[in-house]
Amino acid sequence: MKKAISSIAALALAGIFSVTALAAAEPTVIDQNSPEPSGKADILTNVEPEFTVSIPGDTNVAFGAEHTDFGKVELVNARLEPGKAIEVSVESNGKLENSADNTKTIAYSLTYSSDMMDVPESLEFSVMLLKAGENFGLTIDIEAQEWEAAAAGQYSGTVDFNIACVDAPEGNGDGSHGDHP
Amino acid sequence: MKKKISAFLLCVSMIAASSFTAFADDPAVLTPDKPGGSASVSTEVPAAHKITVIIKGEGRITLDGSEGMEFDAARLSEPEAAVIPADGWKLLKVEYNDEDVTSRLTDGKFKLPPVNKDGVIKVEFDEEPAPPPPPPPDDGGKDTPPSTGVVGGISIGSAALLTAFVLIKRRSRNSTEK
Repeated sequence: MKKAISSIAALALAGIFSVTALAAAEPTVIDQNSPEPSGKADILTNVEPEFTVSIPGDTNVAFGAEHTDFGKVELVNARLEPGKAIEVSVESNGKLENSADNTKTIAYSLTYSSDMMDVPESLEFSVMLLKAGENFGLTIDIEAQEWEAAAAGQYSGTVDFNIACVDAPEGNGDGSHGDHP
Repeated sequence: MKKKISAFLLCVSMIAASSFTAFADDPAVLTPDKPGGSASVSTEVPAAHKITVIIKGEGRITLDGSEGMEFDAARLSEPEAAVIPADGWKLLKVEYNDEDVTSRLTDGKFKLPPVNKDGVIKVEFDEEPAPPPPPPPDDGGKDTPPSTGVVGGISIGSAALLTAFVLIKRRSRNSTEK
């Protein structure tokens, strides 16, 4: 029991000393001997950037559909440093593979649209989102010939999304900016 | 009572735990701590397609030997359709998915292109014109309609007059020669 009490006391003392040490990091003393009767203290803090990007969920394409809404990517909330933006990279191999035989595939492409701009047949591209609420829609495109030639069975593929905080493009502070190969 | 409350709380906690697990699998949100995610795209290509038959007129159709008005054809198969008019009818036109395939028929049969979607076969039969009535059987004139006496009478009379005229002419010639 005594050991426990002494441990707590030791911890408490250590805490007090550390607080004192912090407070004493930059002591400022003003007295009658000071050349200037004033002083200043800087208050510093660091606000970490925070952002959340929503991406489409899993999607089932109806048989024969040439254009299927894939949902949208949206910068839901953003606390960014000035001059920064969120870059969303979208990547896919452009193939839906047959679950029984992965040599049998259905080719597809992605179209993204933002601010009335449609960019078709992209399998790898990135889009910059500058502020909360900005978004772009995605469409899965499969040509009729692909459907006609496809063998029966279940098919699936994956679209990868990655986000990064990057320098915002200069002179493009109001809208999203797409970049694709 | 305490047992009931405990059981209820246990159920609630289990439901909550399972729902949290499901949410954890959802890749719908990316953050600085989780900057990558993915979404799957899936589809299903059916193993068979429905072939519907529409017939105008009288006749029937078979697909790979089976008769009916609706068939299930294996995907990418090429079934053979046979068009059979009913008695007194003839084939006029065959369409497959709105394309006229009449000229492709051989002996009333044609092979469908690889089936990759539901299809419709439209067949049009036309009634053949009625055949001409058969000639009357030769029964020795028993069944011939009775003569009016006008046409037949004139013919017989004319023949008799002609014969008499010829005979008279010959006699008069013989007498002058003598």
